Amino acid sequence: MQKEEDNLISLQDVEVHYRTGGSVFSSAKLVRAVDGVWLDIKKGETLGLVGESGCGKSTLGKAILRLTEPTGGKVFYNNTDLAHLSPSDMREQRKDLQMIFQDPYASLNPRMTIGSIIGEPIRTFSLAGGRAVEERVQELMEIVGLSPRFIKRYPHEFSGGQRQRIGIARALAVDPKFIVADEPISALDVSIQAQIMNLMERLQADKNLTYLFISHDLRAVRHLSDRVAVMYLGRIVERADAKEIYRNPLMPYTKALISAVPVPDPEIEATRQRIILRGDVPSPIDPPSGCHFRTRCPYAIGPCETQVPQLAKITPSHFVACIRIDADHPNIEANAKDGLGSLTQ
Amino acid sequence: MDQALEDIKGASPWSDAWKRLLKNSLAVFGLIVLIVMILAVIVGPSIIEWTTGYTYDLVPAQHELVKAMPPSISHPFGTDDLGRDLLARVLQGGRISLMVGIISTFVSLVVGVSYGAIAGYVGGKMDNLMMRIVDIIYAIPYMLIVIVLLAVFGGPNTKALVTWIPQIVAGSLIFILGILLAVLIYRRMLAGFSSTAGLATQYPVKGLLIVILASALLGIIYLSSLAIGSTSLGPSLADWYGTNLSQGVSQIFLLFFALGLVSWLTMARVVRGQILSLKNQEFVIAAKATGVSPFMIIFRHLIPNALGPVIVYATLTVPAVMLTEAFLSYLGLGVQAPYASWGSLSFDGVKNLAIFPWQLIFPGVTMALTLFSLNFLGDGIRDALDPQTRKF
Amino acid sequence: MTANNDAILSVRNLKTYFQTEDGLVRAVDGISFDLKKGETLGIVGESGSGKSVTNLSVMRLIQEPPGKIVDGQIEFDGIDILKLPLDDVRKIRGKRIAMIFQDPMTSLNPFLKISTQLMEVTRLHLGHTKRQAYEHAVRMLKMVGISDAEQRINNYPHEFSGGMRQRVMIAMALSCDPELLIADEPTTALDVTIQAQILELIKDLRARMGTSVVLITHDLGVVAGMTDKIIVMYAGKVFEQAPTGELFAMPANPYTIGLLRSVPDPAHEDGTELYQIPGLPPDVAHMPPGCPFAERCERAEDICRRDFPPFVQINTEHHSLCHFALEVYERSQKEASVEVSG
Repeated sequence: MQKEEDNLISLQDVEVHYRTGGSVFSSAKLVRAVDGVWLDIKKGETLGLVGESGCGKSTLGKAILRLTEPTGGKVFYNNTDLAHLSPSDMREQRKDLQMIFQDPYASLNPRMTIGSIIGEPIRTFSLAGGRAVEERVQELMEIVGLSPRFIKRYPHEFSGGQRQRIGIARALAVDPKFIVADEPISALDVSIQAQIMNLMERLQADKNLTYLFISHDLRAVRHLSDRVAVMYLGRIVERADAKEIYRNPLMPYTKALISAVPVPDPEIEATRQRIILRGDVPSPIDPPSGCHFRTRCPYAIGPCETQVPQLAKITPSHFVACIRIDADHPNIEANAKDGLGSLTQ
Repeated sequence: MDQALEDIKGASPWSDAWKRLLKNSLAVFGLIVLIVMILAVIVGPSIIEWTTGYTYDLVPAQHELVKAMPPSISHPFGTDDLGRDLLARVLQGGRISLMVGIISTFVSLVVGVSYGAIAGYVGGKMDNLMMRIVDIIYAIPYMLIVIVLLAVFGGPNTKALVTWIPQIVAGSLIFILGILLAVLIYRRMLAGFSSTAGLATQYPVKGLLIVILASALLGIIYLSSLAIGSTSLGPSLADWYGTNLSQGVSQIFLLFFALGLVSWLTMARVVRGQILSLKNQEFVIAAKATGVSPFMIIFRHLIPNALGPVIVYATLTVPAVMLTEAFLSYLGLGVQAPYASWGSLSFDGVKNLAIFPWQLIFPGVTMALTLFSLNFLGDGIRDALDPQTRKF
Repeated sequence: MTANNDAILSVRNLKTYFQTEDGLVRAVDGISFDLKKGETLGIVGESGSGKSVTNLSVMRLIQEPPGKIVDGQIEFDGIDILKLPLDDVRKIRGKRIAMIFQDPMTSLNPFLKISTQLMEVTRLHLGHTKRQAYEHAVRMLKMVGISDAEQRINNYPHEFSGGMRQRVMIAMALSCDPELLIADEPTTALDVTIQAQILELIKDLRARMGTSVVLITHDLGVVAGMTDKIIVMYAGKVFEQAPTGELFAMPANPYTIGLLRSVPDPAHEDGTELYQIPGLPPDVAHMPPGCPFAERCERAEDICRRDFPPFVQINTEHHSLCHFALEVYERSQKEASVEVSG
């Protein structure tokens, strides 16, 4: 069990279920936003979490930080189970666990100056007092590439990219160990996205940060992450090294996801074959039985309806949840031709 | 260097809004009229008394000619049926009308905002309970409340009520602080029992300090309230309105109280709605993620952002309450003679409209001007806080 | 320059300005382009570059005030749209020029059934009877790939997912068989797999109906596979204009090169730091005198900050707004040939 040593965050069977839409005439429906996720995040790495909207990736990120209460399972950080801490003990842990948000317009209080936004965590944890807070804020602003002269300005005076830098400075204010970055670049312009990604990489190297990078943008995830986990309707369906998952996606959903990414190269675009999935992502209120993906999967067979696929090891660093794939037969197209895979579990 | 200094200073959303408000000529007009009106109402009666000797209730003896005089140099607004100077009465009435508006709005701000904010932030069952209470109070016609209040506390009872105001305030403060203390002590105890030793050792000292400070504060408030209540505050408030704490004046206080009681309801709903939409905004989640306490989240992150609609609503509450007061006075439930408000003066004027039109025109125009100004200002503030032409 | 005869849309020197609190914003400042029949034109740019305003101008949908088309000529099939009375523009809008918007969640009226909204268009423009319109609507829904269209047509917008709503929007846009389809960021609000479906659908319909398409996007990946010709916009100006293949292979403008290089490319990724264009887009209300991109440009020299760059013609179809357009082009050409031989 030497491996456990370098895990910073360890999720064990994390669930976030909530009820919605109950009224006098109908009982509330159970939404399984996150449905039994096991995931380890190693010290100093970037784990990319990919999925389409509604797959529960943001909910999972928030559940780790207890911004949404997990309804089941455990979230270990340094051998402490965050999921079952009292609110005041959890508040102490927040010094180490921070978040960067998607919408740079909504994530900053419009009535506070940049100085007080970045300084708030410092004051909350009494990490510095008086004049020292301001000095620390100015130092942070320089780190993220903002002029410290702007300390008395208000968020609406900045552009999206600058606001995202402010959000990053706020997250860095308490010297965290772990940062959940929830779609930090998707609201930004292309040329600004590159700036923010480079900033995040530089900070990771300088401060030995660990990231959970949540995004629907596979190009960005591929660029920033060491390992990638693919989520579909509340479950992790594939996990592998970032390069591996691009070169050799195994799960049919991952294959479709990667083939759908437009490539800025007309020659490649002209020749390559896209896998177009049918239909939409089903609602997490009443997900398909068995494998959640079976309704859109071109390789679905009878048993997919009943068996819930578990993440199975294909290579030491590549895990896939599909009953038609195993270590000896990783290629689902070949398996489908041979009629294999129905009884492998 | 100057350049650098200029760069550092940011324009807050408030100062931005202020600039936009100043560009709106109607709103500026409203603001100026209101300031002039408030100044006139505060110092006007004293000036008139000092220069001419007329007051709102001075009935000149044996001078038949003075009764129902048209406007003249000595009586710019004319006189009423009893020969009282109308200008002095309009200004005196302005005190009451504006006070009714301002006090009720203040009550609605304090009670409504905190009530709505707590309901919205806590949410769930608590929210449901709190809002149902509001619904129930809503369902009772305010006229009924006012009539019952006047029946129970009217007359000599009111005198006692008014003198008790400081005690009532102190009593409720003690009650609230007591609850806060209980919660604090309870949470300290919880922390003390929890396994993390580091936290438990910190708390007794801090907790004890808070308890001592709070009880000292309570004592001071209570003692001072006793002192103030029995001597100065009650009568001096009454002095400001008239000569003594007569029944007429005490009824005005009841009016303030009754209107305040109903005016916070809508405010609570407005604020709750704002808070509900704000509390899931990312900056609030971000504050939670950095460990900011719920109290600070409500007062630093939520309420300042909900204030825009609150201010607008407040400026629109003032005229609404003033109109209600006018209506109540007409029914004989508001101010009583010899005191007057703009409302009661106007309704008195209506009776003589055909013969002495100025008795309606002057109080009516003054009131209408004030209401217009308030509405202009309210609209101006709304536009200033929510500009449709945001930055391109 | 005279309008090309086989051009369905020809824009000349279009200027659309907005009066804002900060001053005059030149959202679109003198742009020109031609779109031939059956062609697809991609307009690429970052937010505030004026790409959406261009197309709102073509549709005469600029809100006035604060906006105003101050100058230029927009010829659609030989008709000068800017000189047309609004009533006649309305007859063209929705019938001969159709538009798809970015957000399928807000561009359908939530209180009306899908059928009502689909039928409204054809009854208005094609004079269909109720029955005809209904049948046509069902046909259109089938065409955009909505299964059991007969039942789904009576649903309300909230009963559809984002991707489905975008399909409905496309069905609505195409129901009068328009000659020109303007798609303004049609896939930005959608998921990757749904984006692939919608792009495939637009491609397929274009081939079947011969519609000319203007595709506005910030995503170079999207235009790469979809368009014949691309316009790159920055700060209200056309920075580069070229056939798709040539633009990607041999860009002649430093901004285009920067854009191309700042997108992570999963196909050949080597884990190095991403290229970033430094700085921020200029404040459109206070434009610097020279080249708007000069502050962020690697190639910039004094002349760039002083003089506005010329719109250099590199070959018949390739133009670039840069003082050093030819030099940049030659360098890209060299790099391209190295890549091919290597």
